[in-house]
Amino acid sequence: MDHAEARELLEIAAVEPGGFARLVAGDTPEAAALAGHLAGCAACAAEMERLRLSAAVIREAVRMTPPPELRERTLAFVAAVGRPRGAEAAGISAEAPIAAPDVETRRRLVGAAPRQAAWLAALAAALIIAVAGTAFFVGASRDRQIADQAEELGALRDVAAWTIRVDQQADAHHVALAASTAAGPTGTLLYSPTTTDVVVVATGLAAPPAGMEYRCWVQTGDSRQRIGKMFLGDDIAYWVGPVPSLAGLGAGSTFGISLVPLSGDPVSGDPVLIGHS
Amino acid sequence: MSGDRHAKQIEADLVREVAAGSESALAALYDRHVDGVFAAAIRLTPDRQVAEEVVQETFLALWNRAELFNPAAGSLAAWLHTIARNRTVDRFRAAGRRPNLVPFSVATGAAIDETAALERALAGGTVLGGADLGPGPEGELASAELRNVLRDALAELPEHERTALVLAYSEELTQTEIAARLGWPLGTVKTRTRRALLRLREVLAEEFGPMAELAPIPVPVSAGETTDR
Repeated sequence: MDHAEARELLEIAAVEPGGFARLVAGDTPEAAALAGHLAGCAACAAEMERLRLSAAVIREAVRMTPPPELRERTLAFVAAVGRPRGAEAAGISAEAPIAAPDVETRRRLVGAAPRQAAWLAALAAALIIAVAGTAFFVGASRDRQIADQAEELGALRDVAAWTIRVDQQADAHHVALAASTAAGPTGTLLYSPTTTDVVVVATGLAAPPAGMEYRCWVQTGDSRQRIGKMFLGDDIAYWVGPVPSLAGLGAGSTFGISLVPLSGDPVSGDPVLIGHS
Repeated sequence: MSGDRHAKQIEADLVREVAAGSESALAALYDRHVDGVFAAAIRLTPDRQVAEEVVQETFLALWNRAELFNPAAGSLAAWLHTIARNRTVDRFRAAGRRPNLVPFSVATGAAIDETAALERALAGGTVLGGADLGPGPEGELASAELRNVLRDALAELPEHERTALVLAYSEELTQTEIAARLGWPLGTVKTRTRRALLRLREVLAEEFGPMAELAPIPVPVSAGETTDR
């Protein structure tokens, strides 16, 4: 084996996963020939060590480098789903209704969410406005107020992240939740039968009486399955997470939110909000 | 005003512009911080698609919550890195899995460096012992300066060479798998990855000197031979 052949083997080993380890193991004719060459060639032996080191460094740099096209995807994503700002934000009020998003537009923006998902941006704007509006508390309640704000914003972060994740699924379903009266609470439920991830958001729910809580459920036929306890913020109630019982769920199911006793059956009770897939 | 303070002031101004709705300010902050944000995610997950999505979500968070950034409380880089780490951990939590490695700062919920987090945990008696692994010889060489040089050199590679090398190193594909993925002859893949690697090593030699530990050692030449590659 001459120098050129040895260098070629080394360079290919440098770009193959585990390449050097296999070469050093020496259990192929090529590896044996290389070992013989390196034993008699200090330059190639030193080059192997430099190649191992430089390959490790370059590999790390390549792994840590984001692809150039991510820039435009990210900026397009933010433009599509980010909260309205500037002149556009002037048209958003704290009472903006939350409409179900249309996912089709998303397919035209690789890796981005649809502009129609600005319902989420409106929700974000509404909550941030509501939270910012209480930012001037003074006295002993200020620390508690700040902690509450941080917790609510953290909740909004969770809702936003889960909504984007579920909305990106090809089988994402949106279910509008409505009350029995036109002036009652409203809600939206988003789920994917493939990933079983669920996002439930509701507004206008009255604070539950002591000993009671809101719980979300899904009913198929006569069988009602729990989804989860609704967490209440200042203006919104929400639940996010995986629900294994939704795996493969087809159309014709009913989703609801009921007010139930803390220690009672979590899926009982008449719904305060109900919707159908 | 010192250079560091000046840079912080520029960043604070850019964040205020983002809060006012400037997409160009967001783009400028993306260019400044994407490497760190991506690195924060890719250290916790081997899935590049997840890391790329975390980048998108992190800059979305910056856009949506720009008013919440307080320059007096810490750097924008640390703020963004914390968001990226939390987003990545959220994904593992949702999938019922654990990330490859959860830094102390994520586990303790504190946006501080790992050594300080370990010291705090030790002082509080919650950890009996721990060790900072240290960068090791490869890590010492992989300094920020080195990564910047390689990042720029990678961007300047011919597209086919860069594609082949990125697939080899970021997705751990064999030469045969790359050939199948791209529809190239195996020999073409080998040539392009070797050329890409050689170009990057030559950049390193140019930047850090031919005696640096990474520079190629010339092929020995005997009398009458040539070293055409």
